[in-house]
Amino acid sequence: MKLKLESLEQSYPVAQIRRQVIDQITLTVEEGTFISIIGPSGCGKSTLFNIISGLERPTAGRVIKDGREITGETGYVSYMLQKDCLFPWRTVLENAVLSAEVAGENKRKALERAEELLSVFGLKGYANEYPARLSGGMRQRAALLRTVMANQDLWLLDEPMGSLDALTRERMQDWLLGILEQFPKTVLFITHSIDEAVYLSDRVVVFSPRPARIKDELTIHLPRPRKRELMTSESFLQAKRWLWEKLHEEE
Amino acid sequence: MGERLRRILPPVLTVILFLIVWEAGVRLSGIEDWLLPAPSGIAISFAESWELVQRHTWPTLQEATLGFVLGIGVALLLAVLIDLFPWLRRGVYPLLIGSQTVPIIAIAPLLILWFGYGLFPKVLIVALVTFFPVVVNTVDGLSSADSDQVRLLKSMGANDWQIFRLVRFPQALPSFFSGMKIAATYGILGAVIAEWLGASEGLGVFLIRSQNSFAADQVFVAIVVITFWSLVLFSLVQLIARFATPWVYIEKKENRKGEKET
Repeated sequence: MKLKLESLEQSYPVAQIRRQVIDQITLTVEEGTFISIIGPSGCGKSTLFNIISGLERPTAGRVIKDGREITGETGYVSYMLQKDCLFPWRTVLENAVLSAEVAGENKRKALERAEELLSVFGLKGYANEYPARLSGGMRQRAALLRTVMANQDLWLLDEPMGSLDALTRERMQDWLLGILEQFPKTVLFITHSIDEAVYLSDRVVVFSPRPARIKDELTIHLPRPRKRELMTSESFLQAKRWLWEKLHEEE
Repeated sequence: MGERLRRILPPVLTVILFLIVWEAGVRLSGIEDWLLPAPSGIAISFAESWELVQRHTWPTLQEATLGFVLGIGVALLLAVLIDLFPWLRRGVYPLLIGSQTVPIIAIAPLLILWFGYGLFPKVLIVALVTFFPVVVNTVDGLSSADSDQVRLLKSMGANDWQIFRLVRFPQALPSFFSGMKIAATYGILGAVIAEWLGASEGLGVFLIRSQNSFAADQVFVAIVVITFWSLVLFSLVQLIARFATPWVYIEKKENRKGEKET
């Protein structure tokens, strides 16, 4: 078991009361699985990622990774936000080695490793370009290269494709699946797109409106490697319908 | 290249037109030379007093550059300290802003009183003038770091010093340089004002002497020289900024491209 969330709760003081944002979230994540989290916007999904990554401390509950409690501790996951967060003053390559620099690793070795990976990420020839020169899809790939370079086995991806146009987005999905075959990781993935969730995931977890609770979850039994043709198959549509109903049913 | 020419040509033409109107105006109206000389008269006076002007330029340049470097160095240091220590921001920063209502021309006599007529009080005056825009701009830049970039670094396990070094400082650099550009335009001016209050050489002295002998043409010569060196200092800062923050210029260029396409 890669990650275990035990009865996580989070609430913030608002005026005189405490506003509950996350309510009793318990989730077990097996090594190497891809889990999507889907739910209404503003339901607290990003707060959950903040807790897992150690940026926030939950009011109650524990985060356990590889059998060790990491509640409130940073540096154990690779976190990718919706904004690519590339540093505009760093070239593609320099952005890629950011985590190595933070960890105090040998920068030259990290640069060499990043350079080898450039072609895998479709960034060959862009090593020394500044992010301003890159298209939206390329920026996202550069951000993912940085995520890969962080050398963490658990990824938190918070709507990484939310800002891309539909076509680029589909291409990026296939490409992400390819990357994950090459670098097997455990992934938690926040998305608003049911299609995206079903297509990419092994399991899809549905969150309730705030305070976020786990409403239900669905295991996706589609074969891997995933192919675009699957999207019109009966089992894909069934999963989609089930999730759509879960998301739209009244409390 | 054509685009650059199109940008430079209009102001150049305006200046040329202005000079022609000036020259013609002086000649046709027959206005006295000591009141308003024609551009051609100023050019002649410039050539005649070339050596004298040179002699007075170097001390001013020396005061200006030394003061500029000192002012910016102290400004950068203080900005970083204000950013690192919140109590400094609360306790010192407001006073710093308030201190700008005290005119430098009123403080200068004090500095002369304390430190005499030498180089040091003049350097100090220039430093005081150039210091302020750099501090304010740099403090602003340091405190406007992108919160998501900071979160990303934190999630990697970065400590406060790493966050400062990897995000806050580099992203404040463009603001630091805009402050420095403003300071560059003040630098020579500060030195000239300092010389007014007491000096034996420098462009400020040259100005006062020209005024006392009703030599308007020499005053104009001084204006040209002061403007020229201010521009040189400004361009120098611009050049350094280009090397130190290349991404800013690339972003601007890409934005222009984007605007054209849409």
